[in-house]
Amino acid sequence: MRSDTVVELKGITKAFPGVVANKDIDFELNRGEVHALLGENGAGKTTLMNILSGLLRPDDGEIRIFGKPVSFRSPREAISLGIGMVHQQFLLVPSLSVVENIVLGHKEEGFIPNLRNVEKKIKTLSENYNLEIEPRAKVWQLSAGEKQRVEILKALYREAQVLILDEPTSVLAPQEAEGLINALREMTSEGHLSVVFVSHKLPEVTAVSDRITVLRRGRVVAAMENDNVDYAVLSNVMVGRELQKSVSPRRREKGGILLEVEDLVVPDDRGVPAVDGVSFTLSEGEILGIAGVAGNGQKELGEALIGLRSATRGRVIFCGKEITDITPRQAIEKKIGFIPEEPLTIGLAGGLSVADNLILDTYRSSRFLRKGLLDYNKIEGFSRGIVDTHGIKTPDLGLQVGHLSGGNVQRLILGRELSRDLKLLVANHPTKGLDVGAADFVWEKLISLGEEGVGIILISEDLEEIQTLSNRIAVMYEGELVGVEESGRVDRKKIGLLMMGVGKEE
Amino acid sequence: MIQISRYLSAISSGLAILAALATGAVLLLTVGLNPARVYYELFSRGMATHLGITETLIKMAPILMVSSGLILAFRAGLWNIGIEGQFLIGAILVGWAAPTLIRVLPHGVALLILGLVGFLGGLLWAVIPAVLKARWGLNEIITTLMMNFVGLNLTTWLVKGPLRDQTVVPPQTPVIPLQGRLPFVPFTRIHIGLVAGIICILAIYIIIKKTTFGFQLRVLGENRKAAIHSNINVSRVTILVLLISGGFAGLAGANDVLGVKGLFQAEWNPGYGFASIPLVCLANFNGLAVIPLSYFFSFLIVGGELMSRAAGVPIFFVQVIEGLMFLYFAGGEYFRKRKAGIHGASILL
Repeated sequence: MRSDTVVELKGITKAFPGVVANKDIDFELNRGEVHALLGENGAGKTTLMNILSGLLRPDDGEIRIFGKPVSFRSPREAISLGIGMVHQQFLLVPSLSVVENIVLGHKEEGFIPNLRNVEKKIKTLSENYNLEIEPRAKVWQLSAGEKQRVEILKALYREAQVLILDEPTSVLAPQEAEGLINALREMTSEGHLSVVFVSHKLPEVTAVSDRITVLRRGRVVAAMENDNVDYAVLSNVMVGRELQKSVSPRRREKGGILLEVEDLVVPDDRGVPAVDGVSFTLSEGEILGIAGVAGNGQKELGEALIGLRSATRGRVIFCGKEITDITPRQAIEKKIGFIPEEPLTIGLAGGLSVADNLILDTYRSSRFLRKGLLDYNKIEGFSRGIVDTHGIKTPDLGLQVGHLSGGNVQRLILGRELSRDLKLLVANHPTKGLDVGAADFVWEKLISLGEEGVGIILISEDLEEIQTLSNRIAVMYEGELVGVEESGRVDRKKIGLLMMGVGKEE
Repeated sequence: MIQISRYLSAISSGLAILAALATGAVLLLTVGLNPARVYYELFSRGMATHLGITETLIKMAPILMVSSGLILAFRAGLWNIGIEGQFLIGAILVGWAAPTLIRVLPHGVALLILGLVGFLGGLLWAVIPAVLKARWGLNEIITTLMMNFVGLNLTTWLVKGPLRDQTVVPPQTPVIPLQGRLPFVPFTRIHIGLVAGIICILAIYIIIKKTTFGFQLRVLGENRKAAIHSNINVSRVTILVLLISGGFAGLAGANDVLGVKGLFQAEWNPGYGFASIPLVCLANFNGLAVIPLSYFFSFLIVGGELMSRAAGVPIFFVQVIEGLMFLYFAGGEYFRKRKAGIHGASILL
């Protein structure tokens, strides 16, 4: 393997109103290597990669691709030079098929693309790289993990030589993540492809990369070979402070029955049962962890409980009353909270301000009104409180939520849900995309909620999270709950296997 | 930050206007006209003569009313393209009811009721698209647009048939006597429709910004799923917004019948809807910004008419200016984003 430089960034600086996202950053990527970009939320990783992929233009600095200085005017120019980016938030058209999404905007296909040829090519690619996908499926039908595969295939289809993956494992189950890491090692071993792997998770970074560059507050604070790296040192460099001690699981007295779900069947968007005869109970103050790979019905289960989706069979009983056909509004009135998996598509309005989004469910409350009109002094006071206690980094309460970083969006929605008085919280991937410090904060919040007697359904793919927080653990596989167990007795490997459909108890 | 962006947006609109005038000058030169003279006629007659000022301010009233309805709908993400039809239905109902009501009721009461009649007429014409949208998700752009044609033909038939004043030759409703029309603002020749229009736009501004209903429609406009997920009754908001939006168009119809024309005439369609859509966009859907812009648009229409006679330039020239303004504004938005360094879909910090 020749170690010539594929990408060279020199002195990159980029400021946004109120924040300097990148300051004088140097970064190099060699042919055939995986170079990890490590840093907390808001450290400037995504901004830097958006600059490399032509989406943003740097205020200062130089970009060299294959030794040639370039100045991208659009992402298309970056793509034509072989730079493909897979964003944290997917850029796919939901109503189009996988094939159509992949050829979309690809000029070589001509005016009327030959979709059958494309489909063949995609199948070959997906087999070669172990990225299983149904080419004719519509994107809206796909789970987050599958959408990511489409994004990677899209880049590979365009003959990307540099693949940028922004927090790629945040949507994957552990085994899937492992698979991705292996696939990346394999893809790069032939020397055709180089990968920038953006992440804040130390174990996967050390597992996948050849080199590691650490960003903090928009600057490079360390760059090293991935060779006997000490986690403690690395995390100190990344966070810039001693890492908090992780929360510990706690034993609690069981309260009365809060929620009973009996034989519930919930269809997905296609009308096919995604939740297929699920039954369980949840006690007050109990945290029930539901593990599972994305796309096995967890999302639909959560949405049915909060009234976003209606069940075709079965019953849901909450506090002794049937709520099977509840509406979202009734769910809010009954003190059921919800943290959605992709907050910007369902829980938040990206074009409205931070303050407006924080009162999205509670704007009718008398504390925000004066003479029947919204009182923005009170609203901003309330918002300021949440922004401060949850450490939401925003220059301004009037900033549009769509301009916040992923981690801050997650903090915002959590802050909003926790600001209400809850009895039940359905948390769908609550720490997805959060760094260690922020995840600790969320975990502590959830545990203390449980101690206050709130029942929590924790849907997650992060086994450490599930094990740390849950009193009981269930695994969801193909719409069914398999193996509900007390968390103390579960070993991680077994859960992992159940998630993949192995060892299902019949 | 909000302040800065609003400020920038005002500058951007101002520059668009200047650039449009400059391009217009080039166009005039190419056809052998002296732009200095044309613009002198346009501005001096439109802005510096008693007639120009009065006519401009009178013209503002319906534009302000229509814009109020448009802003409400657009902020909710609902594209009401049916202003023309809603305007005509409101206008013809007022034209039909006015002569009788004005005769039997005290003047003020009659005018208030007629305003309401116009509002209800426009509202009525939005009922079908609103229900179709709320219940079955039918695209309101198509339905409101189609209702325009129905409205136009229906009003033409009504004024040529059942509602026609049999005593005169042209197909029209009976003329409202001068003393029965909208009174003037004291010391001017401008009828009180202007005041009503300004009240409308201010009310809409406050409704959107300050009321819970306004909050609901803003959330709906930004993210329908988020609106459903929080406790917003999307069908109800959709219907209300489209009905009120149509109502304002109907009110503008009442304004023109009671304040300007004094009757409803066959084949009459002033086209306020399609004039106001770009205006509302230029104003960034902000009610306060609509006030100066509606003045400028009215001035262009009125000044254009006066100028065309004096300078020998067809009145269509001002429509060219309007179109150019819109183009430059859109271009300005593009460059504003580019300057911020955003090329693609969104900023992913």
